[in-house]
Amino acid sequence: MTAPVIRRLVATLVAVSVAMLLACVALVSAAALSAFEREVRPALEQEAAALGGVVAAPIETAISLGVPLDALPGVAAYFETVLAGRQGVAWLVLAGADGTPMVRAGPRAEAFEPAPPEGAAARRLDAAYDTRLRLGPVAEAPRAFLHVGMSRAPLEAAIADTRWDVLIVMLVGAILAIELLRYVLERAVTGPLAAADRLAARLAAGDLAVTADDAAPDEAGRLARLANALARRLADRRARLEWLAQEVASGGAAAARGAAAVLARVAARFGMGAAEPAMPGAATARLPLFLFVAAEQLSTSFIPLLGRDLARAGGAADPGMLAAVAIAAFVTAVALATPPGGRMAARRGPRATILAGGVIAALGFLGAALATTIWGFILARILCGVGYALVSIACQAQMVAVAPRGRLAGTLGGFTGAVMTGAVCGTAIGAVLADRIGQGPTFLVSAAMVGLVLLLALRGFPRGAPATLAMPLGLAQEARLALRAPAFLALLLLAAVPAKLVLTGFVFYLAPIALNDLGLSQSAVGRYVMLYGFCMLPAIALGGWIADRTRLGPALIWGAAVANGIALALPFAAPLELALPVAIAITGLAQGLAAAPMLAAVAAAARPEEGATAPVLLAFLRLGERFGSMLGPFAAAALLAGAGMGQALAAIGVVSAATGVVYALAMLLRRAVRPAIGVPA
Amino acid sequence: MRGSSFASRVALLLALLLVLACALVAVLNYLKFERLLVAQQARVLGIIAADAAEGFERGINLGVRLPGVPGGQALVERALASDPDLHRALVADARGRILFDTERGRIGEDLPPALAAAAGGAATAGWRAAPIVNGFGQTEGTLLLGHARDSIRARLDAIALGMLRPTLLVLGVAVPLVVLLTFLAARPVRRHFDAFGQVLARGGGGAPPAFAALDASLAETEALLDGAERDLEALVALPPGQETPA
Repeated sequence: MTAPVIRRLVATLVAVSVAMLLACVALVSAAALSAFEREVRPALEQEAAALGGVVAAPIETAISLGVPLDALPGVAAYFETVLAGRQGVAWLVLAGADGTPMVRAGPRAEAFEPAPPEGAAARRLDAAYDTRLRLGPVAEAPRAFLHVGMSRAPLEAAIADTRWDVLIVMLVGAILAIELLRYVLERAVTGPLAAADRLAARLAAGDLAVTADDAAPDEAGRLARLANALARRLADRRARLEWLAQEVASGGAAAARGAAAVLARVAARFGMGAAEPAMPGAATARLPLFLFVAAEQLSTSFIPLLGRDLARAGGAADPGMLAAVAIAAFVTAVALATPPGGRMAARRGPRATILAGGVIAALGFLGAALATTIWGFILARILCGVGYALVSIACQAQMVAVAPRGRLAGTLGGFTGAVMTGAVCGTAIGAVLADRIGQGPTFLVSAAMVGLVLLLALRGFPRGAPATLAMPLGLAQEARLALRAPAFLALLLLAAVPAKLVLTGFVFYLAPIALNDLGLSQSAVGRYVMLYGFCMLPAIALGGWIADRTRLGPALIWGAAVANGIALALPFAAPLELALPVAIAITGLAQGLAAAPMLAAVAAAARPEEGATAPVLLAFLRLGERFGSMLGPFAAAALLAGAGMGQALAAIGVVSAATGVVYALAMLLRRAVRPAIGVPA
Repeated sequence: MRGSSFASRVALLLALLLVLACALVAVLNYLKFERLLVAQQARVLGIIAADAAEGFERGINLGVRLPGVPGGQALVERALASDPDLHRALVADARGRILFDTERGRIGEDLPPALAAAAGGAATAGWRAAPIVNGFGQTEGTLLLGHARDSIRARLDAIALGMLRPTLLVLGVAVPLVVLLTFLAARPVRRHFDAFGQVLARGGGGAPPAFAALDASLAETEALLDGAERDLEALVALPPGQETPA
């Protein structure tokens, strides 16, 4: 009844908000860049003047001693000496009194255009800002001119970098707008309308005990008040009927029988149901989850760099390995805290769990911001990992608890969506923030965002444990059940674990280090790391679509592993600055395409009759993936220290491709064996 | 349905998002430009410091000790004059005694601790150091340039103003527009709420098609109650002992 009108509203508001946001950010950024270029030009001219003053001094001395300009020896060699190791200078040109160039030097010297002697002292050419200094006594006509060209390339690189950052802000702003709209509309429109729909249907069916939450001051509250008034009026009328029936019954047995018959007719229509609970929607958990994941991922692009710097500052023998420990410690903490987190969510409820997890994570972020030693930093990351496990499991439990009947898969799809969009936004904007305010303060921003998550949880998560949450199985029991499903074991060891090894070893560890070592800015590193999530998001949907409609699911799984392997060989075929982002993007695409088929393969591998149900196998798969995530940074750090970047990338790629091929062979073997033993494929 | 609307909350949210996004872009750009301008100034100071230090090194290489470099005072004065952001230039020997200083009264004094740290290579805000090294690679002393950030501040102020005006203009147009568009987009849903409320209020009149089934169901319920009430009232009206009509 309400779905089409809500869909239209959501689509229109998303379009309006995204369009307005992009337009505003683009206009403000254009103004900022124009102001910057206007103001940076005098600074470049100042640098040119300073350099020109230094370079001109010996020439001035020669001129003052009466040496003719065309008899000055070694000017070109002198210019080359000055330019050596000095970046950003496009040219040094010595020109005669008529402006004719006599000596040119510099990387863009051929782009220098002679200037008439009466021209302006500073001018903009295509390649550089040219500043001209007159040579010779001030009181006399100039004897010569020295031109210093300050290259526009660094300025243009800075402007291009800023434009990318603005695009990142646009992307994050648009995703944030959609998430916030989803949250507000669910609380103000979708949720109340759905509740009113259900309430009206129950009223119409004769359930007069239902009531709606009428506290909201807007349309939803007014609708709820009308519904409650209707329920009260109908209940009053029914009460009056009962009173009338009592009156009739006092008139004799026959009248009493007649009244009872009338009441029975009414009772057949009216039942006394339970009160309609004010159940929050999935958005109450989705927004906190999105914000929390974004807060955690703010630091993804610089964790290995910060870890390495802290380890170096502490005089560690192998800083790269300690940086890997910082990543692995987080993943291990997540893996170890997830099972107790699940039990806590089942016993104490998602609200208590998210509050505990949020506080622990906030302490972790504060600790990371203040850490001055690698061990302090690792401890802080362990706290962050415990917090991450508790918050994510609490949000998942809350989503399961409020999922409409028959729509659990869709609601949990929202969980994956929130995690992925949060990861994309956090990685990208975190790098921009770290570039501007530093790495420590970026952790403080994470802590502040977790504070916001706690406020949302206090407001949106109901107290107590929902009855729908099942107590998770113990690790040993899960492992015992999982080991009985060989197809699942193959998937776990040959696809899931290697995929995570590639993710943490390459995307989260080697790539940031390699990109940073190439001299890229922090925000550029973040942009490239973000490519993983950015490419993965649409690929997840596409992989699901392909797997649902074709029988290519297993091929997508092993194909992704092989594609990862090939991607990691790219640095041997192309320069690192091109190969790394392409490899990250291919990894995101490949792992995204394989995500849904992997879940389908888990479901297919389940043996419910033996207790190895799909949820049990899925929980064990996640645990195995975290083991792979833990292994990745250590393997990468050891390979990097022992064999260098190229070999480290190649080795991880070979592992990925080889396991993918073995998985493909295993699937072929399984397909060949099944018909032979009469098992349906 | 009159009174406050969900559209107000949505419009407020979107307006806040616009303001936040513009402010974020402006602040991030400002911080980036500040960093670039500071780096630019550092390069200029590096050129000046290297040139001045080289002047002293040339003097030392002629065979004189640092305190006796001919024209040493002129060298620091020239360094000071080469950039308007410089407020002081001095040279101290390896033990921290000031040999040449644009603040001539301080010549002969020891370097204060902050400047001694800067001379020792520690990063010190507002000071740029360049070692003066003799032909044997030994550090004879340090040239120190004291600088302010007046020109950077002026440029950043100009950039901030350059961003502020268009930002206010953009927001001045965008915020009312987004509020208007939100209310326009919300109209069908508000009408939907109104129609729903009308059905629940049982105010009479034809229900919109979307609520026809609910309206019919509620009407059926009311009719059942009406019928039951009529029957019971008829029973009440009967004299005692008479047979019931039911």
